[in-house]
Amino acid sequence: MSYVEAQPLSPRARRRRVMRRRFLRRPAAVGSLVVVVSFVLAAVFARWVAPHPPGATDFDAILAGPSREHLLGTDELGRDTLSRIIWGARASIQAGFFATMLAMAVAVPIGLVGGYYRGKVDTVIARITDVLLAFPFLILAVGLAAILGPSLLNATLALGIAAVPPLIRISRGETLELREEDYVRAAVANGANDGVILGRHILPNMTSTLIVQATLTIPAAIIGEAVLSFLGLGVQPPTPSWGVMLNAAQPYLSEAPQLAVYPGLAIVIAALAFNLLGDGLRDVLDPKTER
Amino acid sequence: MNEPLLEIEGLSVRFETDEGTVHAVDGMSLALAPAQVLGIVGESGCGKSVTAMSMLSLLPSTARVSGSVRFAGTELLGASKAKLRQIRGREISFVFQEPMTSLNPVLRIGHQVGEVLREHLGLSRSAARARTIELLDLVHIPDPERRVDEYPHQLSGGMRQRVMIAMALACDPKILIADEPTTALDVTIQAGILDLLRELRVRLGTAILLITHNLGVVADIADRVVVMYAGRKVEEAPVTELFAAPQHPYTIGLLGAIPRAGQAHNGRLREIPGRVPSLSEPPGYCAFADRCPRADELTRSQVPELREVRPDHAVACFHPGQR
Amino acid sequence: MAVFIGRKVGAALIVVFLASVIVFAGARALPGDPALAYAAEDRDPEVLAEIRDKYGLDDPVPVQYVRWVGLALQGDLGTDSRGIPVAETIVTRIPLTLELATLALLIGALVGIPAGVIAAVRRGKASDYAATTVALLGLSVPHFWLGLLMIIVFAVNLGWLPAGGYVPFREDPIGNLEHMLMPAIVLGTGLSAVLMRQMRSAMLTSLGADYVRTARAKGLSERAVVGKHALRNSLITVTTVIGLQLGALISGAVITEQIFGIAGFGRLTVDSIAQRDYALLQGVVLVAAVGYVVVNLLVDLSYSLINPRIRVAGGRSA
Repeated sequence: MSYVEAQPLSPRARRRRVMRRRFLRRPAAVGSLVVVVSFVLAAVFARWVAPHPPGATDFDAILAGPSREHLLGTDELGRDTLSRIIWGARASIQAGFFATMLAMAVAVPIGLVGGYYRGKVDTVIARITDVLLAFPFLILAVGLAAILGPSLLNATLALGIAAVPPLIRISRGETLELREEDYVRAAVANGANDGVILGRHILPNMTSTLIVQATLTIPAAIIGEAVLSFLGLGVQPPTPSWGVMLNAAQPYLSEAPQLAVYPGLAIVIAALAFNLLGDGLRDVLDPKTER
Repeated sequence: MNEPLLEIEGLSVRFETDEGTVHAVDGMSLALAPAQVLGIVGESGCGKSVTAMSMLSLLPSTARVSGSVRFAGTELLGASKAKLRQIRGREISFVFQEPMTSLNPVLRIGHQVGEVLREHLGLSRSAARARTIELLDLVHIPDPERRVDEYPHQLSGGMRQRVMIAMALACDPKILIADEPTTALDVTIQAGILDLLRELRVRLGTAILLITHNLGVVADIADRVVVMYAGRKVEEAPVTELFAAPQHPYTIGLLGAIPRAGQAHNGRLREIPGRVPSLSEPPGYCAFADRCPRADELTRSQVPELREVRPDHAVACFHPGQR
Repeated sequence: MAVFIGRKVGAALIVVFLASVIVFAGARALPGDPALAYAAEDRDPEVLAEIRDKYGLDDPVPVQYVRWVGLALQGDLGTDSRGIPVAETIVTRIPLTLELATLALLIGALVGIPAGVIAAVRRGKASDYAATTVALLGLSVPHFWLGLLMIIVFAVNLGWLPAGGYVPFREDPIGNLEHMLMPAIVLGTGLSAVLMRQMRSAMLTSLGADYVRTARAKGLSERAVVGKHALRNSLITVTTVIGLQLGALISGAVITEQIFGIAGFGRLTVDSIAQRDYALLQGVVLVAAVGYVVVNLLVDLSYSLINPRIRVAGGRSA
């Protein structure tokens, strides 16, 4: 009998199993994953999930409270709130998700290049990022959306671009740290070319940080889309989005406060779920953080 | 000199981790007499630091400690927080391995040393400051009046370790536990710290529990040696006896692995083959068996118990002795 | 030390300069003819040509930029479409936003920091989970929704607080605070959530550090260990976070002022974008960017002062 236990799994698979076990041990993370998936599914299959078409008006029931026909009541044109929320999830989650993907696709390569090669290129990148970071995320998004014009696509673009500077800072920071690691130096000493080093050694070790950041950027983008639509700079009515609904609810705060409550609640739950998921992933993927 | 100052019996420490239980220390027993220097030797991960820290309940909350640690008749394991606080820093002090990180970077040296004096001896701020300067002088820190107001990052590693020692001796403790006090330092500084410890032991009569993986350090200042392997004690003897007649194959291996000038080694250092076993499950037989040249049926089926094979010399081995 | 400060100030100046370029370019990029904003309803081409001439809108963009910067340095940010000097509008409105931001900062810090400490000390217990969840909630709630909710509950239903508007402090201190309370809470919520998490994280790091182990080994009381050793280190770490949160505070102010009808600086941003008032927009965003950079600089410098490792140069003597 020998000391070395029979290891049928490769180190990577073993690590994945440990991570999965750690994840499943955290009810908050699992719960949030369920919620996130539900939202995404509801958004994708809105046509089948929503009880009413989002634009269907019913002038017999204007600003109505909850009823069997309209589970969450209706708005000022008699449209079913629940259905509009479900359809609104589409706009909001799309914006959140794609804006984040766009931002990562732009920011990560820039951060990698800057952090790895250093020199003049890096100095320029760092300075420009610093300047852009002088503008708060939402202000940048608002400005860009104003320039691009109101639409869901432009709002997504604006949010994505606005999310780039902080992500550059993170990916650049990670690259700077990782390039000093021994295994990177070993790879360089062995004559590996830059592409291999960046692709095989540095980038994979950043993935956990990047995944966590992505899960935390999505809710910011979702809220951002709501803000833009609320200000009239994003999705335009009659297309439903949570921000549009909140804007429309303002004149009716005393008569029908629920018009403001429900869409906001949807935002909160979605954002909360993503944030919890991000936290849970961070716990699981990065064993060094003592939480 | 008959009543032991410190008695540890059957100490076991387990850690609950995400990957299972780690048995860091298993059935450890030892005794420390007043003004004695006891060296605990073993490689990294053998449980010596854990043993030391468990005495003062300094382990993280994932630790499960069982057994008995008696100091001057009082049981330390499971003692009340208040009792522990009374003993820590006052009767039993600790010097940690990493002087770089063991001092608070945002508080001045004088403040950190003075804390112990104010807390345990009730000294006023000015009295504590004066005494601190005396202590810094005791550990041979030059220009103590200036140093007392400096921050840790302004001192070198060796000096920081001296400050740690000063802090540990502030209340004239009966026992000083030094966990690898010289490991993080340059070899040249090491000698200075060891000289200091030796001098302090003579001047103040403090008993020292010295934890190290370096046999040279042990030979230098210890009276008695305990050798640990994979969480258990495998050999114990007075220092000269251990070096003259090591019994356990591990100890023999350790001694043989020390490079000695002038000895013929065919150009290669003698090493002990194999690696330290995982501590996740006690194997149920001799932990050293896989690396031992004397391994056989017996050692692979039972755990050897400690037996006295020579006067005042105990070994946990089925085939002890010199070959 | 002076060199150190000088270098930081220099960097800040570069950032301000580049920011002004971006602001200017951004304003120019907005769709629509800038002359139209000045012309209000008048679409007469002659009037428009006159306006273009008067404001130099036909000059090449770099020239316009230089002219703008030159005037700005003298405190003249031009006039908006109604002929009111931009600088004047800004100066009247800034105090409101400053008051709002200060109150929000106070609320955020007084709630967030202690909460973070408690959560860290009671890590893993019920109070920790509760505090952490509440903090996460605070991060997930959009400002404007919280504002709307509070208006519904406290103004419409309970009638305790006014739904909006503003009363200057000098005129009516209590009324002023009544009007400011809800907006400040709304704005401070996000900040307190961030501070709580940062503080908790910093405290956990400190509590796990070697020097805390040393402090315990010295026999210090738990209160001294947490309150003196761990807390001091953590507070220092967290100050940088406050600086970073100012940006979120500004953008939060924009929306909060919108909802509560406070004629503050934040609201100017939105108004100027909506009205395509370029002079106003440029001035507003420039001031915001400069202010942000300045405050960050101050936070940065004060961090250097508080952290002994930076303040007292580590001169290693053998």
